[in-house]
Amino acid sequence: MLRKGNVKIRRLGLPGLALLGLIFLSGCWDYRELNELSLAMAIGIDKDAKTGDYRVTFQIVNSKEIAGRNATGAVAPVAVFTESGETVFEAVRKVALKGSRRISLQHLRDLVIGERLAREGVKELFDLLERDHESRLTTRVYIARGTDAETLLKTLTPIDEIPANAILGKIQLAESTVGENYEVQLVEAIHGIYRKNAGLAISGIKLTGPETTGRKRANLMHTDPPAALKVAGMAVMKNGKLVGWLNRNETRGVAWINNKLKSTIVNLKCEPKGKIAVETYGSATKLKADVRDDRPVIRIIIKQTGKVGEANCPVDLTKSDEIKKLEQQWEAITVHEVKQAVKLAKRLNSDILGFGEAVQRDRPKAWKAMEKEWGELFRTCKAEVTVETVLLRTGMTTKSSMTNK
Amino acid sequence: MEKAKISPGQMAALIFLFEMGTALVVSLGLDAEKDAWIAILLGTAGGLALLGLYASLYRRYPDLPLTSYAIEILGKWIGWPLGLLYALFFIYGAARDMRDGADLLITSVLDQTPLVAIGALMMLTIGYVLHKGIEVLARTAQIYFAVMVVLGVLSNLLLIVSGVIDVDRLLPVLEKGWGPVLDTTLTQSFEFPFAEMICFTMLFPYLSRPGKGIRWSFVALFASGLVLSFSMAMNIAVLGVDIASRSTFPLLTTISLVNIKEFIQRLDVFVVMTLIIGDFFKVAIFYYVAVLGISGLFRIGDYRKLVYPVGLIIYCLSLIIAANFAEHIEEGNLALSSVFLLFGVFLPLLLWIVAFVRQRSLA
Repeated sequence: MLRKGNVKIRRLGLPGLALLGLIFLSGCWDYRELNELSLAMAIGIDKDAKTGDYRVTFQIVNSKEIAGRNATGAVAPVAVFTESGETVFEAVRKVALKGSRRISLQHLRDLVIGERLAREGVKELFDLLERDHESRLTTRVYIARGTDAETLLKTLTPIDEIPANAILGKIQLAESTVGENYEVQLVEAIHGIYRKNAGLAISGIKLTGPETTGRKRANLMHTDPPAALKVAGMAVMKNGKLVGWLNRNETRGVAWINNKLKSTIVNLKCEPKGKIAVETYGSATKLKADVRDDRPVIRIIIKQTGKVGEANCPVDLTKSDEIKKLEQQWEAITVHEVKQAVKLAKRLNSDILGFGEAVQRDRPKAWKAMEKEWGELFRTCKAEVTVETVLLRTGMTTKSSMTNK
Repeated sequence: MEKAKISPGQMAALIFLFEMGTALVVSLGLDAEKDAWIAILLGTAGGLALLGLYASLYRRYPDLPLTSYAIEILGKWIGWPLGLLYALFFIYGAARDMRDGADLLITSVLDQTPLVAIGALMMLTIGYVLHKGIEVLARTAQIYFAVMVVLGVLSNLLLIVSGVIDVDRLLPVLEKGWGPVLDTTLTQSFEFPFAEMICFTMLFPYLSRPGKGIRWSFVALFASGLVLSFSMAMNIAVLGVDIASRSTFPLLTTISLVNIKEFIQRLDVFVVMTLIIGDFFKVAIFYYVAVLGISGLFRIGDYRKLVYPVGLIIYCLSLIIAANFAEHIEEGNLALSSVFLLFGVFLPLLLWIVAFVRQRSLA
């Protein structure tokens, strides 16, 4: 009986299975071919002043211009479309209509938020990007300083043809060479924005020069394009709202405290005159919290190593005494800059330094009482800074060429 | 029962994959917030104790599956209906996990594909393997065990290299005391996935070397508990507890943060593969023990006749079990602290006590 069944299965079942295979194996249900997709590299979100709707801008790669051989050089490398809607998602869908293809969020690198919207509050923006299965939490967040995201994203940039990549490159370069800015990923932004009484610093990007020029390819015909994007300090957020800006020279201390500083140049004074530039190799920061007299005390412990990059003064760098002196000076400058950053954060009253989290981590019991009043406590908390520095090397020369003069 | 033997290593692989199942990718124990990993560890301890109970029953009846020794212990009139209830429970379990896996797959990657299609494909594959017998499933498990280990090691390595782990996010430990942790353990992380081990009371009789087989089962269960706890700790260390607990699949979000120099990224497929492999074995085992139970209870000689009919029932049940994902999860939480607790813990305990008392009174 079983045998008979088997034969039957073979006679009818196998062709049937083969037919079934035709349906199931011929392709994915959700397939989307590359030539039907628009790759969005950057998204900008603004608020429409009149209607209060969201204005969403997408920077979309013009793949023909980017993929080498077929590039004409006559067309802009990216297309930038803007559309508004009551929800971000609605606007996103409507933007796609301006082009002819479905927009894919998978390669989204930058999220730019217009300053006006940032001042009003950004808490409503992130749900879509957290919920959507195509977008990723590694997208970087920026604030368009003094302008809206739309204008910023429409500006063409030299060298890196896709402005979205140029923006990312600028920030990463600033992070890894001067330590003045650091990139903030969506995951960190969400963390800082929704945590009660926490603060967040986000890099700002500004547009210099006439915006109308920036939109045309002609902008790139100049050696120094008249309209350009520049890294411009960091925006200080509190409870999801922009409350102030840190300028270039103020951001390094914040980066130091947040353990974001990778490399930077510190200029030291030299006797009797001249300067010595020290390059930081690596820096690691730890925050420890104590409670003294019911008041939080934060200890900022920084360990850094570096080398001498330039010495324009008659100093004998072969002597370890000299090195020690330089280290001390370097330490003092670091301490000063870090304290300055703490002072600034307190003045803006935004815990961009992660002090609250340090207290929660190290003194969970005390934190329970402080949690509610942290907004006030942060302003009065004490910060102690310890810096340990090691000057490892002096570069390819020992004594400066000015030593003998 | 079919004539088959499972080696201790195969049993361990089956248990490990079964425990990984869907538990690895969902937000397991996150009601305990930062301390989810402790809740899972405590759940593991409970699971080990429970396995001790199952092993003790197995030693008493080394040749019989649960549905048969229930009759031996409680007699025909109570034991047989109880066995039937167990068979239904296994079908329900299989359908739940089928739905879990399919829904997770749709939400995470295949957003336009209907449930019907994913379920049908999964069910046909599993049905085919089970038709080939438990030995085939066990050998498959060995292969996929290796795949899982490679995926796991690689993912963790890449997470470390990309520097997204911040252990500080796990601190302070036990911020709100033991209360929430114990609560989560009792209502969630103990039942899911550890009380589901009840399935293996049906499979132990296949063990080729009982003593070693049981020992390996303990090891596999312990190891899977550690892995679950570790990966949840990893999720929290990478995402922070807010995002992790909001996320439908923390593990998927975690792995999506891997980004090494804008070059090695988008490793979501690792997690999706884990999900498919785990879900495959979980459904397969629930499904197999259901078939086994029914064929024993109704004295159907060849269990293979039941594979496709039962498969069809599981498939249909998985489609109608809930109208939407939220309802499915809500139902799941209710079922965990009632149905799974009853069938996984209380009834086996009852069987064990009765068996013990009867042995005493006979002696």
